[in-house]
Amino acid sequence: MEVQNSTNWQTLEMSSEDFRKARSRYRRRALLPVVGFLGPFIFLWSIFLATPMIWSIWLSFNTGGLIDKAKFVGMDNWGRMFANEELVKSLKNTGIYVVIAITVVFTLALTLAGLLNSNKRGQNFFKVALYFPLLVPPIMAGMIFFFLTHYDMGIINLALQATGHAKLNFLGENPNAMLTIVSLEVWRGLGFWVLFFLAGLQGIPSDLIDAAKIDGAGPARRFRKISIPTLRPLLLFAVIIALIFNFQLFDSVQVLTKGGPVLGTSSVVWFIYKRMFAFQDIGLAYATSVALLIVVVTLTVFAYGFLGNKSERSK
Amino acid sequence: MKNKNRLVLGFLGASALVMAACSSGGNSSADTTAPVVDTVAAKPFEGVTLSFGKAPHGEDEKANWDKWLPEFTAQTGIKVELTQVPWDQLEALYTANFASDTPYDVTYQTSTHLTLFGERGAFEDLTPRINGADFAADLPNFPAGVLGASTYNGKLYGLPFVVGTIAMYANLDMLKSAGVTMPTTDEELVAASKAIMADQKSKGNKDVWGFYTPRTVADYGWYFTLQNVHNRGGDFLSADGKTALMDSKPVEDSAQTAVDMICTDKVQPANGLYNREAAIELFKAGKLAFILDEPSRVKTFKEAALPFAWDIAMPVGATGGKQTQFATTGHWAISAKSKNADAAWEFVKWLSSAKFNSTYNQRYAFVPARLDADASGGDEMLARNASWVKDWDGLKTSPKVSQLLDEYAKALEAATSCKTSVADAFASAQKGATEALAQE
Repeated sequence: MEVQNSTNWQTLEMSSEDFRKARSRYRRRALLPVVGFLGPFIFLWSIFLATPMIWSIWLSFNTGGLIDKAKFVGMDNWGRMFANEELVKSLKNTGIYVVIAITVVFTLALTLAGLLNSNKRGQNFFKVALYFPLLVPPIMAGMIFFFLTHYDMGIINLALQATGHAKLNFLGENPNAMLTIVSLEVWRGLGFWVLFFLAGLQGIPSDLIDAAKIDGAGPARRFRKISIPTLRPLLLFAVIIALIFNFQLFDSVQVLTKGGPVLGTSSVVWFIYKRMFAFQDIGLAYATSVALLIVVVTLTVFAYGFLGNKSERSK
Repeated sequence: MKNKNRLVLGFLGASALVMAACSSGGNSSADTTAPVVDTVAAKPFEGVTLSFGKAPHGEDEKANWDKWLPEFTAQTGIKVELTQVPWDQLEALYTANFASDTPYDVTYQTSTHLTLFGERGAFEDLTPRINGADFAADLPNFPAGVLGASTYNGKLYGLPFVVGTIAMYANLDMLKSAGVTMPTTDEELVAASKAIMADQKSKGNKDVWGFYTPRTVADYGWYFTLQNVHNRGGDFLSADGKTALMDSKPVEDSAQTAVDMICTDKVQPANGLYNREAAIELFKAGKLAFILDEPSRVKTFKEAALPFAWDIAMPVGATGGKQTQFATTGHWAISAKSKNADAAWEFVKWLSSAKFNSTYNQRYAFVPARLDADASGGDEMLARNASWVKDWDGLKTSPKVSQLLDEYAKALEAATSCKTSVADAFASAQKGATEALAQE
């Protein structure tokens, strides 16, 4: 037995050169699956995200650069950006939109997810019904809301008229126009967030709920004291995703209002779109795009720090 | 038809081969080959394919191009591939296209985009081509004013094709019922609108409006309003294109008239109640006395057989001022990167010919940019519309004109919202426009 062991140890002995080669072989073997799995993603990420991002940053210090040649202008675009009143207005509009839209859609989604979670009957029907608006193309969704809010033929104004109320100018007055856009985006996004939160609620261990029931906690208290704290990591992800998506408000503005009335629905992305394409002010468009990226990343870090810490504490 | 074309092309190809074989063999059979040489020489671009981008002026335009283009192909041997570019995505799609190495060889460009893209190197300057011998017979047919409005810094990035005009459509039954005549000035228009609304109300028709024209950014309010500035002898930009005049008296006075129509006289619906298309439906439904729109509606209204008598008139002038026509111009532009620029010029010449211009505009009712084309096709209304072009004071192209018009349109929209004064709205426009002009 000892002889056998001794032989084994002798076999394992290797020179430092052999050791280096073996270590290198091992590292290559370990690295291969990593490269294999991550490589395609890194490749696509580099081409479609990293390169355009670096290019965008570079073009934010230039004029032109798309049809004509780029010309370096230093911080000129950034200076113009901070002084642009329309951008300030667009940023304010976008901020208001983000706060209202996320608050409304999360409140509704959590409530509906809670209701669906506690009532299994007809759950599948409601899941499909709520998710359906997301399948409607954004342009079509805009057209649906256009006809819904039409002054003469829109079903909402017809209902208001039938009940003796004055008709509303939905798209021609502020803040009606922004609220119409919020309603459209909430309608489109609600189904996704309901399913998202429902999946989270269904993942809460039933023994926690049962224990709370035995202790006499009612549905509202169970939701507040058990469901919400348990869902906090999920909420963190949801807030970050919602921030990123909602800061890109564009489709409904393009279809319904073109930024009006009186810039009341002009969003940052709408501002960028106009500068980039309608005015060919490429430098200002890129500077604003990069600034928007910085704002979203900052808010994401802030949301992560705020909700992330709470998530840690709740564990 | 396709087979017939193939046969013809096959015959010509075979003839060319025979001719080449004969000439390389040193055979002096000039008498028999001469007609073939002429035929082949007439098609120097045989086999070339051009890409052609255009935003449509009607839903049937694609089908019409399918009918029109084979004639050009038969004449020249050049194949044309049309891509319809939607108006609402036009700037984004053209930017991407012109930034690529394979842009459309020929595109249709309005005055707002012609120099926007042209000055960035997207289009060839056509000045040498229009002064060439092959265009000498055509050039005199293009009015100097139209060519001048499309020229920037001595460069013509597109050959004018159509001149936009605006017509005022009027419900004659309403005019007759109220005992008013066709208005020719702002004041007369307001008075006529009020009389018609009162008359209709007395007959139980409460939801009738006097007048509509778009005043919002979304519906290109500037397009339907700027003639009022010209009628007062002014413009939003100085003649040299270097100074913004948004806060000038003619601009503010014309805006005040628009504001009064909505906010004080209440003869026009508030912004947002009806967009341009909804207002057209309002007119068609007999609930609107006057509306400004493009002359292309003449055809559609006639096809729709509106249940009331109607007519068109020139948009009203300013009281004590002028009565002018305003709109943009449509052009054919050749891409600076086109690998088939000479073939593209052949195509532009064909598109701009009196024959094609007449054919196109008899369908879409624009005024031809050349004097020897007839867009009316015997239609009295369209002939009358074409005659108004003598009073045309259209948009002069410049690389910043889109941005300046946006500033003007935002101010007009703000003022006609009845919540911002004309002075404040246009002071803001002046600031924005001055900054835009200062930007390189």
